[in-house]
Amino acid sequence: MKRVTVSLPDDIADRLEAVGNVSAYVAEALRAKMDDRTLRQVMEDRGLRITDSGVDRAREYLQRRRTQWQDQKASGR
Amino acid sequence: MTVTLLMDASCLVQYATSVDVRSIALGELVSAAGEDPEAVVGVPATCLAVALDSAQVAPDQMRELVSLFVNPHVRLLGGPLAVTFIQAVVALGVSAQVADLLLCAAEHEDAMVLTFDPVVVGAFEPSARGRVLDLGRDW
Repeated sequence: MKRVTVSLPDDIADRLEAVGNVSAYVAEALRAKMDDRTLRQVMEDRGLRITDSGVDRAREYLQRRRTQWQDQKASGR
Repeated sequence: MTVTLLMDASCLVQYATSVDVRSIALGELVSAAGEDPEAVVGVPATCLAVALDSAQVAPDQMRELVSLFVNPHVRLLGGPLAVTFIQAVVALGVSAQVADLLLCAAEHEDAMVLTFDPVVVGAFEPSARGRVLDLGRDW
């Protein structure tokens, strides 16, 4: 167990003052943040084989459709 | 919270019940959206309720749906104001999940909408249809 000193914004510090066990509270929050299971891993756990090329294709599709939509909005059609 | 994609009930049912090419395409889209650490894939609460209530989703498949929400990049959307809006729109003959989806789309105006359901596509005004990704047609 290590002791760590951190600087926090006022709103977070105020919130922590109301918490009983600050160390446990912060540790739990950080553990949730450190859960680095990506969505891709969640999908693969589900049995969906997600490939780099597939994600590249999906990213391009999303970008293209988003651009088309933004253009459509801008032109008021 | 930056919502980049909205998933409807048809996407959740597809995700829970199949590992076919459409589910993989859906997974790739959601994974691509989740690459941005600030990005969130939003699911209107009513859409999840409809999916869980669907006869197509077997009890053991419900776990698959719920596990999706363990990841911080997938969030349920909705609240008390949403309920009021949804009740009003449902009174006009629109389904609750479509009403919730429209509300979430209005609240997150930069988010694209994912669906396999032509009814959902048709629920959006022609001027807003560009944001609806009709996966049933595209895949």
